[in-house]
Amino acid sequence: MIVEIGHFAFILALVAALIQAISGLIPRDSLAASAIASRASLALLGLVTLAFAGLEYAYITSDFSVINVIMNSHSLKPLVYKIAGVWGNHEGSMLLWILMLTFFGALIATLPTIDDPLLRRRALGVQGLLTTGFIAFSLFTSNPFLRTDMPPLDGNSLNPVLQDLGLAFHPPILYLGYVGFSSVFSLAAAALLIGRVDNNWARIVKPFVALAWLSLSAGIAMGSKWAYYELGWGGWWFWDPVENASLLPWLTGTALLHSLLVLEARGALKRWTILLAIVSFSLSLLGTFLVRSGVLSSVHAFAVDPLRGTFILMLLSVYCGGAFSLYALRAPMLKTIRLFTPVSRESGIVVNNMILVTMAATVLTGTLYPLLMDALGLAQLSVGAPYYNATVVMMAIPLFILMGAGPMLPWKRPGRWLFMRPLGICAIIAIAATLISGIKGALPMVGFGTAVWVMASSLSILWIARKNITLKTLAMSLGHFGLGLSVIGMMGTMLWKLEDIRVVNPGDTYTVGRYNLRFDGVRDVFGPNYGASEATITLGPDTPNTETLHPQKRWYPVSESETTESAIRLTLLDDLYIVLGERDLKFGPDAWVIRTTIHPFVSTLWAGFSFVVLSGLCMLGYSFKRRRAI
Amino acid sequence: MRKSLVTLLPLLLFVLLALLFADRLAAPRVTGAIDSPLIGKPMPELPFANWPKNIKPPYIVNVFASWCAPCAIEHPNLIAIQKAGITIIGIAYKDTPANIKKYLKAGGNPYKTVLYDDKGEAAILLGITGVPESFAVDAQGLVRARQQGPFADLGTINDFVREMLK
Repeated sequence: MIVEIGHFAFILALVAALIQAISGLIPRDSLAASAIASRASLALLGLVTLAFAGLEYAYITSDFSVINVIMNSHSLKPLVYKIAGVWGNHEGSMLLWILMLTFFGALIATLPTIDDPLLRRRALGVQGLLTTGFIAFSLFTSNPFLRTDMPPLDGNSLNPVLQDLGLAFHPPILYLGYVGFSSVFSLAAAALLIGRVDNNWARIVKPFVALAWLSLSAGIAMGSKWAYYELGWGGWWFWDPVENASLLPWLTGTALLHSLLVLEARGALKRWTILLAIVSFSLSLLGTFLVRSGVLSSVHAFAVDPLRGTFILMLLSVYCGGAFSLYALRAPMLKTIRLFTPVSRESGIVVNNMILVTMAATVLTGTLYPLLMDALGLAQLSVGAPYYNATVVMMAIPLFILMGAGPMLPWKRPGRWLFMRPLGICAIIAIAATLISGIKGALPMVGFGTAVWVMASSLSILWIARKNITLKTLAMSLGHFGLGLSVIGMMGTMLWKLEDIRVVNPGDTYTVGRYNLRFDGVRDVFGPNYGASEATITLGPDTPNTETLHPQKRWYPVSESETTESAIRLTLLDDLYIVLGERDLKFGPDAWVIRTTIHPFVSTLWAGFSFVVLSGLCMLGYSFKRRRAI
Repeated sequence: MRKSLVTLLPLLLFVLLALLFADRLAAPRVTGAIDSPLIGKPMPELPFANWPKNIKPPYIVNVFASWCAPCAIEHPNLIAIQKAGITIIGIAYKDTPANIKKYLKAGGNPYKTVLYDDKGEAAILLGITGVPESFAVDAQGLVRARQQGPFADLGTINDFVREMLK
């Protein structure tokens, strides 16, 4: 019954979304229409929350008469994974998507910083259109509330790899980012409809961009952390199409954050900022299409259904096609300022935007290139890490150099070249640090040098502003500092990784990097629903403080799946990562393959990501403040 | 005029992308779905002392139970193909001979023989997720197809048999 209430609420939500769309978009300006649109958006949020709660109830009580629960849950799952199971599948995650769409709709309706009633109403209308389309998609092709006449005794899904807290909670945060850009999209389309884009619009949009960008950053960071620790592959980014799909809106969203600064301060870059706002959400939609239509193969892909693909492509065409058409019609009417001096904050941000957008275009090309080749019948291929390393990494270098210098530059034109001294000091620090570190090779030296340069510049900005540190300064310095810090972690995993694969017999000792290890053998252990071979490896066998590590190879007979549980020892300096391979009888009755990897500076990668997320929080905090343009 | 051409560019790019996606959606796809690791491999030796060695493949292995409602739904379809001359080996999952006898008396017996998997060991070897499930074993003794859930109509069971006799 509770599931039916949820289902019914979901159907009503379709009606509420339609009402919101119509009342938001009717041309006649009336107070009644504004009130209806706002209230519809609140009712919509309530209805979809009810629907979501209904599905959660079915999962928590393991109601196996609901097909979605049968397919994606199991009575033996721990409660937290039952709860998270709702969005671990296509239908349920779509419902979460819609819940967030309605959340951002309600935010547009209620946020007091939106002081333009017409903009609010039009944005609610566009958001209502988006919500209508996705609820229709969900109800007609992916309804999570369908029942079966023949409930089985238990569910089908007990996938051990997916039982991980990081994985369970990274999709909602990532979706908050993706869907967050829907509100930015709606506000951009509304501004085009009204024909007014100014610094006030920039101020209104900023909290939405901040929230979306912050969530997307946190979601990406959590996803890569999960990949690193749980998958046992020892990598944190694989240039998988679905990972790229999350990187694309992040890159354009980052560009948008910066161009908004110019729009707010100088009233310039109007068309460009609007375009970025539309493109960021379009890329989020593109990611959804790629994951759910099955046109690209990926480890992240959901079950394939051509009808769904067609439906999403239709939605994509209506929303993005509509927005780009609107842009083509209305953008030429927006007047922009063209006079920029070459050395100024705004010029720096323009170059930053150009680099970020080129990066996004490069990643998009790489992601879609296999599709294009296949469509032209030329070849079936995949584009891997070497392409991205050669292109994106190369573009990152000028971006980072700019990132250190840009924030020191004054707006408009430099009256006095005061910024040269701190920049010079930062450059000297960066060069000195690179030389002292003893890093060899051109690329590593440049990478390390620019990372130090960015961090030094961010800290010196805080130092210069020490008497009066605003949230805005803090957001900028934390974000830039975090990116610099994470570059050091990235270089650690890419350039200075030590890997050792060997066959060992019990009692063998070996050395990898700064670690002395002894292999003490493998024994069988049994868990609740698996059997495992567990190795014992003693760290520093000759020293008084020994420590043992236990990598496992698990076998889950019911689902016929095998997982590797790598043993990881974390220190600030490096991660020691041991994976148990196969037994190798050629070398002895108890000989096993052991893979030992040392990833230096991984902790700085996560710390860097944390700073970036923190900077997003600061940005969110200051973007709510009402301020006048410079 | 030149201004509006620039603002038209994003739309044009998007249209090209959408055309590419439409083309790819329409393209036939290799699903590559492997629904059981057993497919293409010999039927595993099941832990039954009384495994009928005299029954030669091709045959269908059907895991069922008297307490399972979907099994009763597919039962007439099993009877139909048995009448068409197909051999079916039944594995009674967590059930008792008395209940099975009653069940087969009521609905007819499509099975050449029924084996009792009361501890669910055979079910683990076959990797089943519930009852009923069926496996098609071809003349060479290789597993050709797997059916999860009941054969809801004659069409699905005919496709299954065709796969086995290929």
